Amino acid sequence: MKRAIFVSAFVGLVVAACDDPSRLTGGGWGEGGEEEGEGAGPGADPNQPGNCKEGAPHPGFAGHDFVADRKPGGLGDDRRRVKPFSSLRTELARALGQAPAGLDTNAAAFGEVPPRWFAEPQAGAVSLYTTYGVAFTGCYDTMTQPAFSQAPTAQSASDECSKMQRKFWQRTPSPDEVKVCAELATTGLASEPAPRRRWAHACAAVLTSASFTTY
Amino acid sequence: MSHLSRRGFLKALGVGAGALVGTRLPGAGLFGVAHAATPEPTSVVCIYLNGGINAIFTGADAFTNTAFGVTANNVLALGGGVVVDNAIGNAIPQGVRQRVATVGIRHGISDHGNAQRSFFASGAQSAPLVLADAIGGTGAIKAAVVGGNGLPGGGAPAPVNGISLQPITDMRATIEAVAGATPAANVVDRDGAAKGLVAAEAMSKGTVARHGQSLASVNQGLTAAIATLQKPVQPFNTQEFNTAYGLTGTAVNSFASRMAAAELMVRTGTGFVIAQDAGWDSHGDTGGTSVRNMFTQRIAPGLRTFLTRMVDGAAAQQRNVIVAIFGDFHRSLPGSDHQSNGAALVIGKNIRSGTTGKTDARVSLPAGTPGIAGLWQLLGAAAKVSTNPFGANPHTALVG
Repeated sequence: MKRAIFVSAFVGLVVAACDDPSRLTGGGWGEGGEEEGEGAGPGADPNQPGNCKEGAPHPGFAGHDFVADRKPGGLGDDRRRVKPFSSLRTELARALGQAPAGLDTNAAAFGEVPPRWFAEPQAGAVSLYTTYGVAFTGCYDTMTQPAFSQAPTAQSASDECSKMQRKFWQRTPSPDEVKVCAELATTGLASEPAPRRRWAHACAAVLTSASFTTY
Repeated sequence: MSHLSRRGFLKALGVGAGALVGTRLPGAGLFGVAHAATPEPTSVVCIYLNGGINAIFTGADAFTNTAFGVTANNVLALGGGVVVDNAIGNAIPQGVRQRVATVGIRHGISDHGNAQRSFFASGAQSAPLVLADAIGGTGAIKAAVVGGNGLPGGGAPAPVNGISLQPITDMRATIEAVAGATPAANVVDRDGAAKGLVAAEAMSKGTVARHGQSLASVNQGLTAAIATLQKPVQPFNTQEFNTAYGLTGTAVNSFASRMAAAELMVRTGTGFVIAQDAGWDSHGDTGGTSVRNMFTQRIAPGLRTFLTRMVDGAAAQQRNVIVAIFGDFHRSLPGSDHQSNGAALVIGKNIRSGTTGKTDARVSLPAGTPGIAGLWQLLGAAAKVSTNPFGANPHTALVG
């Protein structure tokens, strides 16, 4: 009897986990792409202001409410932050299997914070261009499989873009996001004669998007 | 997330053609309204001494033989009643000493945070970005902070008319963005990168929309990066800057490297640049020794090189570069504490020798001296913008 209960519980957990693979990796929380419930009108989405209890007033002297000037916002909004260089370094290694060549020599482009000091990381034109360049090199150097010596087609680009986005972003991409990446690899970079470079550009674009450079 | 159509994506890829025709044509573009704003390439470079500025750098003769160690022998008369400490005077090339003014700022503020926020605000907007917008120009990056992330006391400001403040922290990376890297099979090309970043921007749309404030720098950075790559190549090399400014690396992490980065940005067409230097809250420096040494050792070498290359001589024929040096407030007497006024030393081809910023022996400015707005009004006038967004310049005698 005890064994049957244990087996039933185990099977139940496996089924629940396999129901949506993205749940295992933090995806499906509505970051980025097609969010569940996004676009629903007021009254429908409990994550939006006006649809749930928003907190009690905190009256102080003379009845002044200390929280009166708080601006209501949706749950989970404005939570993401730019990854600092220290995180980007390990994240690129996770995504590509190895740290891109030249990554450390570009550290200054991301702003150096003196030891024992903290500065909120900020993205900029130069740091994002540098991210793209470093990612391109990393992608090119690791895209050695035969598939990447063939020019992307609509189907292969869609398949590979979807795989890269899922792996790099750790969530399932939306159809629109896959489409943008695939169109870059096919029509956007049609003038690029080297197939591997076209794939590397698509890969670098995914790695430079906010779903990878922020958390 | 909004729908991304094939047409929309291809249209976005094609914005480069619009960028290549230049920003001096009328009409609204992807990066805000372009202005035919100044008659020649124009840049305002602010050097901000974080903590305060001793009045010996803006009007030393007020203290001769009485305070801050000023004597008749350690000051330099630049003309028009402008007398400054040798530490700053010797950093100004001979050829531009007749183009120096001190601008009085009677702001009534004596705390650092308030002074820093107030100096860079114009109503609810960022004054530097308002000025950069008015200047217009050809640079993809219209406003830059060299060696940092944001403005003193305020971080990264909200964009003005699509213009954002872009951090410049590495010379080589910046040069690669404007000139491209040495070609190789595994090295990115500018054309491909421009298209790739347009795609990255499109893929970021949903995330950035939901985190509009916390990821504002991502949104602004992608836009500026695409604009930079869609501009024609501008050839620069790091060795030129390293030689001129005595640098050994490309990280923008010293004052000399900030001045080198400022020159790079001026030459790429950036309208507003700010370089900060920390450590100017000089309490107890009653003899002025500490601030003299800091200026001589840290500020003067890079400043002298920058003024020589960007303001003096032939440089003045090519562009209008205005340099403004100021800090939170003057240092007070007797203890070199917080005086509730300040002054800016302003240098540029359109500046006339003169002063509205000379204090009395107690570091007070006359009643009626304009406040912070007056400095921005003067900078707008010196930049010769077609319409001064800050209003008429009250320091009329200082701009020619």
